[in-house]
Amino acid sequence: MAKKRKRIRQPQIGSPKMRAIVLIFFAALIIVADIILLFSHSKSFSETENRVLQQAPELTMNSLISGKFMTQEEDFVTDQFFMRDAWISLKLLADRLSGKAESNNVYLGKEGYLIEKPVVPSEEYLTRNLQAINAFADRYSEVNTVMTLVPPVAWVCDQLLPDNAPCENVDAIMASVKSGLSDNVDFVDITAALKEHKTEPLYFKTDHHWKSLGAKYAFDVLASHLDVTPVDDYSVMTVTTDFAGTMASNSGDTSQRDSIEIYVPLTGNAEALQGSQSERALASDLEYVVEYTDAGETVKTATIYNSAALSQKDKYQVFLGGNHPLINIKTSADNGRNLLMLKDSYANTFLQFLLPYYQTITIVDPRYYSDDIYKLMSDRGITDVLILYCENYFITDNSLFGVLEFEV
Amino acid sequence: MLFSSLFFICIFLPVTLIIYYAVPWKFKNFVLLILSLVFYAWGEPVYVILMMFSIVFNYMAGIQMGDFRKLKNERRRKIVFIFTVAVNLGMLGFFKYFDFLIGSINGLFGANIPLKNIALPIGISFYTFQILSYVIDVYWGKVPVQKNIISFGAYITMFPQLIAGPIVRYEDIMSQLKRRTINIRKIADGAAWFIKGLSKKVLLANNIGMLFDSISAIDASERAVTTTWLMVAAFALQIYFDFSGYSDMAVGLGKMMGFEFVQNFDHPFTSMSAAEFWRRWHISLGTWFREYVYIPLGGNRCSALKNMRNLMVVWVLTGLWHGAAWNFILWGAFFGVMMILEKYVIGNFLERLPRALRHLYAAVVTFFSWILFSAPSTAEIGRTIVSGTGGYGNAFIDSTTVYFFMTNLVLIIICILCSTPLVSNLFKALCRNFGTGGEAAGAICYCLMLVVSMAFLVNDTYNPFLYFRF
Repeated sequence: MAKKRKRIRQPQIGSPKMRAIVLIFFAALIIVADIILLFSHSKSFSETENRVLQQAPELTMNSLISGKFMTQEEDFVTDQFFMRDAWISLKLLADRLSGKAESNNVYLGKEGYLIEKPVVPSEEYLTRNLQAINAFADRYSEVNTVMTLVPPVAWVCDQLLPDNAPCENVDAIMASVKSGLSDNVDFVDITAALKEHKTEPLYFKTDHHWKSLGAKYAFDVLASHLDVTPVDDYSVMTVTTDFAGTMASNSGDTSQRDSIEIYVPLTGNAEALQGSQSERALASDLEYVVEYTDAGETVKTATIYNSAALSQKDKYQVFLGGNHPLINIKTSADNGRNLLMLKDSYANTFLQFLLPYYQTITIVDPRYYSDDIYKLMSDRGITDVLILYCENYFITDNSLFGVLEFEV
Repeated sequence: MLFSSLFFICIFLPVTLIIYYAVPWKFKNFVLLILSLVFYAWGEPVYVILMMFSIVFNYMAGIQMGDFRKLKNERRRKIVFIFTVAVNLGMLGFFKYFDFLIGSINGLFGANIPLKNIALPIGISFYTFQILSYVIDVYWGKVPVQKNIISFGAYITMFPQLIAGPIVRYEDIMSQLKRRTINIRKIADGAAWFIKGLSKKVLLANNIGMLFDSISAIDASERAVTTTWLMVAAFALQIYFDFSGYSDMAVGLGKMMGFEFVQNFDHPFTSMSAAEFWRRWHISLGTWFREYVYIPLGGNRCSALKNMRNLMVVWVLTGLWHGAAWNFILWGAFFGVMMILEKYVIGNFLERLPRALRHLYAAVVTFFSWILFSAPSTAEIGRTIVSGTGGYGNAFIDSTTVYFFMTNLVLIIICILCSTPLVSNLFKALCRNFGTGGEAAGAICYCLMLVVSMAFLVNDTYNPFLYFRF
């Protein structure tokens, strides 16, 4: 070892004073973070993210060996980091400044719109769903079966997308769905009708759903297919202006707020128009009973709106109080028409437009429903079927065929 | 545990440093060993036992080789050496390459031997090479036997470089294990190096990595030609900033604990040939293969044919070191071929070219190599090449290209600038030639880099739960 070795040394960064300031700042930041982590109560829930935050994990032999303790401890430090929401806003600001036009699969669109990225169809599920729908419609060929898929905002209001943002070709998907359906299904493509109004607020800025206005334009197109004559007279009421939905949570951009409007059809039945303005709007002049069946329990109300939802985070639940496996609605209409609706949550907004035209409306959400759909068809004397989903969900849905393929 | 996590930065690092600084010198290596084992066990609660076995086993092998040298029993010494190398390579081979071997046999001969699905112990490729550098140098008599198992263990496990390098050769660090200096200036420098590495990893690598992920999610036949190019470029930038970011963080953490590590990256994208690229890229790995494979095989002091063989062996092994998959072997073999070409065929021609053309040549060669490296399968290599040359009848450029390019333009420009010496030179000038104002501006830069990196780390668990989804 006579050879003298070259001394290894990486160059120093910047200058001494600069490094001193950086070290002090670094240390101070860690000390502040640690003191707050140690001495403040850990938050249990994040409003923005709508999820339970990680608490300090318990140390056990099992959790240590499996590594669960370590993962939870790391999540704990990150979840309980001081001013968590401010840090997340800073991250989003950095993204925006660098020109990024998306955040967690949400396009940061124009005019404050946060737009869900449309997904690619699952060929397997889509084919199976269409086959199941065909078999169902062929079996009930005397029943008027109408189907529609609500196109995503990215496709309808393409002017709101960031420049050049890629979007699945929804027209092509709609066409392939239509061509995959039997003649017994009346598939109505409402894309063009919605596009005519693409500058109006058809969809929420902060949520992935459509607004009542979008649903109304869809209903105007669907009415003739459903064989009903629209009343075209509504009491429109804004029930909140403080809604920040799923897209706000997903993207982390919580700067925007949406309003939610409800459209209550007026049929000219003045007797029911009593009580205060808000009660009147919510109850309308229609009389009906709504029965929600969840996990075997049935709850009855006299309205499809749930005003309690307006004080919670997901205010979209003002429609029907969210999703339920089965909902039965009996109205005062005595016309012998009984509608079965197979749907996802987009139908919750749409339902208000259907109320005046059917004696009963049975609403099945196949994602939560596992009972005999055929028994339901005969028990309820179904005369009309409406299948209403949003396109972006339907093309990957893996529950509808399960319900339609029900065997005893 | 990743360096780029709030848990490491806010809990593990301060606790470690406080204990490490508090204990007297003679306990510092012990503290380093214990804390490094905790660090390793944090991510590998089971494999830490394997690590401890390696330490004890190789420590004893070193002692044995030393004893046999004293006894002048060369035969025994050689047996111990070969056995030790075989055990180390055997463990690496079993944990890293066993399933790959079985999979390849199944593929080649249509056999159906079940895979073991062995989880790879983190950092095994790095620490096995560190151990081998010690074992081989002891055998060659280049370094004395390490009699102190704590110093030896501290060398193997030293957490700053345990998981992602640099591969510190024993020779380079043995004197530091005995004697090193810790002072506040070095700690401050270490902190700055750490922030530099953290920003490279979190702000540049992770973000440009998202561009790579988004593009590679599109099927090769549907990507425009330029989108595919953008994808490969994004990958090159991602892997450079990821890897060199980790190395910088390791250098910084080392400095904070009194160590100096070798330089691992030296602006590789400014190279003018494949050979130069490898003198600038992952230098510690290149050095290791040169010292322990290339030169022992005869290096270039042999016939041209043998030299070519040596080059191919070294580069195929280098490829294989990066992962147990055929695309890494192809990647290594490609560089082997390029080395031979540059040395025996096109070298003189290249040297006469203008600098700009030589840079372009190196850029094309490395660009192509990333196609091999980034591919999830060998079939995908072909598809990427077809897509990148318009072989699918795909467009040259489309609106998707424009979208990806425009929304990442700022990031791409920053990445390219930071991969040249320009930014660090400008920064040096800012801090040294503009008085207090310049120094303050430099400090603000680093503080901002830290704060924004932290924001991205907080966002790591940002995970909105959308139970009300649809």
